[in-house]
Amino acid sequence: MKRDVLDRGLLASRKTVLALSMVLISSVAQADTVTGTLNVYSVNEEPFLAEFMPVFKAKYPELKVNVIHGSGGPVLARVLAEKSNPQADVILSLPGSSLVILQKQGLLDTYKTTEAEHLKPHMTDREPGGPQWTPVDAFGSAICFNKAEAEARNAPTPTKWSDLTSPAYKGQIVMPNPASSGTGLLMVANWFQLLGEEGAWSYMDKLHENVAQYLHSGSAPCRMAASGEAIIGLSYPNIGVQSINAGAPLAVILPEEGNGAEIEGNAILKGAKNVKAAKLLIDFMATEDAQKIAGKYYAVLARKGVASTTAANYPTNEEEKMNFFDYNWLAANKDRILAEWQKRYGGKSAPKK
Amino acid sequence: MLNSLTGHAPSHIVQKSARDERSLTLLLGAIFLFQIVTIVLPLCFLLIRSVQDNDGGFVGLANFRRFMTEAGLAQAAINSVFISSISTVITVSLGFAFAYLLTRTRTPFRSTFRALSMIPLLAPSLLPALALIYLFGQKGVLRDLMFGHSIYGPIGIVMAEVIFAFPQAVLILSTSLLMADQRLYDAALAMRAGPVRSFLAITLPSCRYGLVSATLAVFVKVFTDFGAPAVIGGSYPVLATEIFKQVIGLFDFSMGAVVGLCLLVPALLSFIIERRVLRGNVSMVSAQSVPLTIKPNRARDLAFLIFGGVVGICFVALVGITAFGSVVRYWPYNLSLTWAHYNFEAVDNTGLSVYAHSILLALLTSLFGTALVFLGAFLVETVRGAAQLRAAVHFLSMVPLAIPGLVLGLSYIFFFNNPDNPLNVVYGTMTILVLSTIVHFYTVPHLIALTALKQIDREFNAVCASLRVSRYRMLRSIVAPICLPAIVDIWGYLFVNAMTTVSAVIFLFSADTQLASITIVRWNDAGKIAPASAMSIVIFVTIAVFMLLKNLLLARSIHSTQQWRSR
Repeated sequence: MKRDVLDRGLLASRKTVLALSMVLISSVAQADTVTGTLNVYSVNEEPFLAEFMPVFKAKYPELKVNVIHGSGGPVLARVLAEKSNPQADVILSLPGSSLVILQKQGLLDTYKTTEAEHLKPHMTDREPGGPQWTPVDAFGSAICFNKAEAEARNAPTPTKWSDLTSPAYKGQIVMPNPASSGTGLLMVANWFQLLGEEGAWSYMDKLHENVAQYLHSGSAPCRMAASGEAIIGLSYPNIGVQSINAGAPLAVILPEEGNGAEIEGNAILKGAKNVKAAKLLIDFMATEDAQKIAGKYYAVLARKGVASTTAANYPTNEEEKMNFFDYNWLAANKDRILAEWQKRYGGKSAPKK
Repeated sequence: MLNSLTGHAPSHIVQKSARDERSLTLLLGAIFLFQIVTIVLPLCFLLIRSVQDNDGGFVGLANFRRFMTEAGLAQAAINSVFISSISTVITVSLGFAFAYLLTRTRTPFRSTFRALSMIPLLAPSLLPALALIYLFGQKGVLRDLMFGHSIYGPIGIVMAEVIFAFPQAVLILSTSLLMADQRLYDAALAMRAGPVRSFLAITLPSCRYGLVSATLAVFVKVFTDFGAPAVIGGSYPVLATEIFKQVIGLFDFSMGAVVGLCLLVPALLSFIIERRVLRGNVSMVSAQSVPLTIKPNRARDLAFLIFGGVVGICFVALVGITAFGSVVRYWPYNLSLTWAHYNFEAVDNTGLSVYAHSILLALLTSLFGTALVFLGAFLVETVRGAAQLRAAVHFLSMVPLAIPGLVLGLSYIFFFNNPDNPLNVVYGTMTILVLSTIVHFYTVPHLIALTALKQIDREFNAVCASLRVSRYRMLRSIVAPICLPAIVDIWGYLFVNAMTTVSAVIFLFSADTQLASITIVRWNDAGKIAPASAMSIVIFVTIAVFMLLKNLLLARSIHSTQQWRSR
């Protein structure tokens, strides 16, 4: 009964052509219809999800899809806290550094997507027993630079990570705390890759002189730079691009030395109740159609040959500047690095003037 | 008393009151059981977590040793105590003055002031912090008032916490100041005691219980608040943000559990202190009391008018600047006006349903919560005997204040999402949101109810017994009407907090029960500050409308139930 109403609503509100083609797609593609409920935890950018999910739902109209959306930390914490009785079937676009944590605890199911051959090899999971997650996109760190405030204070435009230690930025840089933000951890890990252990610490010692605040969120630093609360916010590109397009006098700068790349991937949780539908969602996200949608929001895509069509003001050549480093190295060294970080910089209280 | 005068009470009365007593004790037992399931057991699961490593192996006190030695954690504990102490002194002083204005002066516009003082309560927890940044940030309109100091850090935290806790202090203190016996003041006047003397000798002692309650409530509230330090605290570490870091950043649930237990310490202390103060408590309104008459006093009323005006303007400014932020195109660079940020469906496709879920949660929480809290407080006050049970229920009513929402939410996952727990059917439903919200906000309403109930003389009990009035009838016809303002305040408090709560429910909501308050946090985090401000304003207006209706209703019923307060 309910479905009848829904169908009539669909037909009434959308073009008949669209509805017909949907019926065609689902009858051709599906020998047997997929039913039941699929519980999804998603870390995707909100606008991407808003565009992508209706397409997936239209493909499998019999399936009820529940999506809980949040940022990386809370979603991962939730999955870990629920591990004795998993509530989600599939997690979408969780950062690689977080996926490794789930892998180490044995919480992910192995699944090789039917689209595997079309995916970039350097972005895929190399777990010996078979891949446990399927990549969707990648992004790196970025410097959000407030041009208006910089001009007012005569601060030059930075182009490299090493520029950030200049006294011109004293007390004007905000960055995420690597202990509470994946974005912050990615940044620090990248400095380790670029500069080596000793070089990274001495760089961060100097950077620390300029840092006004270490924040508990990866997007907040860029947001603060966008609203003029700081000149420089270390963050990631998307949040900065959104701010520019909303009217902020901001530039999103990809440092010349290169960026730590965060691959985002989809995974099926062990104990998932609707594995069949979870697999279909993962497969569909890797198809050309879905990757084209993702391409509007992410500059670097997992599928070969899909060109990104990101919004205006998105920095170019992000992929060339990406460092795809070893998440397993990060997972093994994370505790040690963070303990030392906390000792050196964790006690910083109010920003000094 | 009448019984003892006539010598022997008819046996059916004795039986009836014994039956009353038994069923009341049974009810109290039921509430105790509810508290065991919703507070004690989840906390036990948390406690177990604190002596386990993250794979569930027993490690004894290793996590606690780690807490003591790990850089930053001990410092965060010291910072928390420092921030909470300063905030408490400021909040309780201001709150007392404000409550005095409301209850003991004839300052004009008192009802307006009362409404204004509740503004921070009506706003989502992020609003004061957002507003302080709009006002005092690097680009803030009043940044020169900071004299070069940064709002990000202890200064900002204390300001936000004072705003955050102010309404609670006013609620508790004005309930306490409302009850007074005119005869004492008449006697003081007859003995030629000046206003200062009678203030120190009568007013202060008479609301000692309220002062202690308010101090403890504010201290614990500030100590465990996460919102203000997270948004405006910069990198100034406090325990509440440390727990967030341990859980959300490091996924160290065991350390999160340890920090959570540390946050429980002030509540334990406050329970002990409160018991001590209570020992000498004498109720201020007895059966012979004469309601207070407040005489006009121009100098006093003018001073309070100015004070109330300043506080009122500050609070209005907070909402005003946020509202302004929500209608400008891009703060602070493009100040042209637009309604675009109120088009929530365009921000994301969950925009309107989350609002409906929030209203539903608020209605259910305030309905069931008020009944439960008031009944609980009544039973704690009036059941004869069963002293240990009463003490236990009271203690468990105090505990929720100390549990940071994040910890409560986590412990609910550990407990309710356990596959072996028959109650796990509520996981992911609206029921668990209602349960957790009632529990999360249980303490302040309990204190409000208790403060109101304590001022009803125990003599009423005896009178009721002698008039063969059942205790249930007494609750209905005497206690509830006398305490009606407190009951309505409790209802409002729960409704408002359910509308604005974030921390406890952030782990517990499901796709079908997403909330507006959580959406604000998400948008703020995603840099959509203007839509977040807009949603804050929508919630604020919603709550304001509900509170207005509540007050109209209250005003009508006060007319019929509270006439005894005035002569």
